[in-house]
Amino acid sequence: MGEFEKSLDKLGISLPNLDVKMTAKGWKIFSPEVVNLPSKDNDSFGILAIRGSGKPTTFFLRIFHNQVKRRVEVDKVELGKLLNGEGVRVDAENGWLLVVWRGIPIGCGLVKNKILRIEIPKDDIIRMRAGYRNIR
Amino acid sequence: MIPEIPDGFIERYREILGSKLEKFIWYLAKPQRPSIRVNTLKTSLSWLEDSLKENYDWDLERFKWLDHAFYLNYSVENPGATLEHTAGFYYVQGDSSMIPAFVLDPKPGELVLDITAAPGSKTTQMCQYMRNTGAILANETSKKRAFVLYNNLKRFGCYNTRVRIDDGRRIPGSNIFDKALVDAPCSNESSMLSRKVAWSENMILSLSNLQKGLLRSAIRLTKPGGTIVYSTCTFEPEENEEVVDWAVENLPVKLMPVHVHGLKLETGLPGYECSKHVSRIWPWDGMQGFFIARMVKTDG
Repeated sequence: MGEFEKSLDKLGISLPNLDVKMTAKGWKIFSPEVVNLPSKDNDSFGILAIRGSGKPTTFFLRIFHNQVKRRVEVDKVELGKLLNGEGVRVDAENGWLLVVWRGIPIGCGLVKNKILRIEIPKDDIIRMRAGYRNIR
Repeated sequence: MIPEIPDGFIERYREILGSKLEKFIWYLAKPQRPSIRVNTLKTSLSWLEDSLKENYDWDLERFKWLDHAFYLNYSVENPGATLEHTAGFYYVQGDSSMIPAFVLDPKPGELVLDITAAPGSKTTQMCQYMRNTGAILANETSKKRAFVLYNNLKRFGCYNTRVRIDDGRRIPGSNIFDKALVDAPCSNESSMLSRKVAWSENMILSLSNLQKGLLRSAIRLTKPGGTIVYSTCTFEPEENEEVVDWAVENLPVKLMPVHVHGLKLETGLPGYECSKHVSRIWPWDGMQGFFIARMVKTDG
């Protein structure tokens, strides 16, 4: 089993029929037919799934959020702390997982010694904070 | 009170609409009711409805003609400022803007061209209908707009899409795609009073030439028997009926009727060959103004 498959196995994700390519940033997933389209030097396709470090990307976890077994459900207060860059105590093993609030896949988190921190793109943190402020 | 209206605009539409002019301007100035399209790749209509009601106290009303979209209350100032939006569970999109991709009806496994794709509302809609299979070539001229497009595709979770930065008229090849969408750059008159869009008669003529070029390219790239949908969010006949008449006369396509079950669409302006087969939405129809034509490529 390769590194990519091991990462998927840990997360509990089984991919549908799509292609995987190793790039400088990590493993990218895309529909097989995408390579048959007229190509150009600067075009881009697919979604980065797992980084070279083994970290799953937030965008990838959100696509397959219903399948992800390695996940942690947080409450509103905990979500607020995570979005502010603080750690939250959780009962989970070390490693990457999906952070979920009320069924919404917030993004990738990392647990170290029972402390969870969020690892999602900065732009998304800003958008998530705006959304969080609007929760009644 | 009628907002400031560009010179020449009133005279053009007095000629086209006659006694309906005042009604046209009144509805044009009216704010559009915000609407969202649910990403059924990631969630369901009922789950999202419950979530948005529970978390933000939103009042949602389901579309009558599309089973995966909602109207929001006018009071929702920023429909994109939610956790669900950032997670890619929905796209903020005008009601009429959902019609072209719905009419094109891309199926799983097909090859589809979106020749002017940014910011990605219709590309993500097609990706959803294709269940993230097959492939979409999402073309965009501007690098800056292509960046926005790419981010929206990531947010929505589209991995069946290739983003190309190019003039759509220069995409090489022929007979590649099963379907093509030409949601053409236009004078955007349906939003001109709410968004203060720049307007001039010269711009309309220049856009008309660009639209013909893009449509010509899309037809070349579509396989014989394939479908092409041409749409704009403007009312100008030079950008709508005239472009379609030109295409039918000069290119290997035939016009097909546009039907959307549960939605009343008006025919084109009189005086054009295509009038009976193309569809218009006027502001008084209670939706954003739009023009839609559906064509099939012939063997010729």
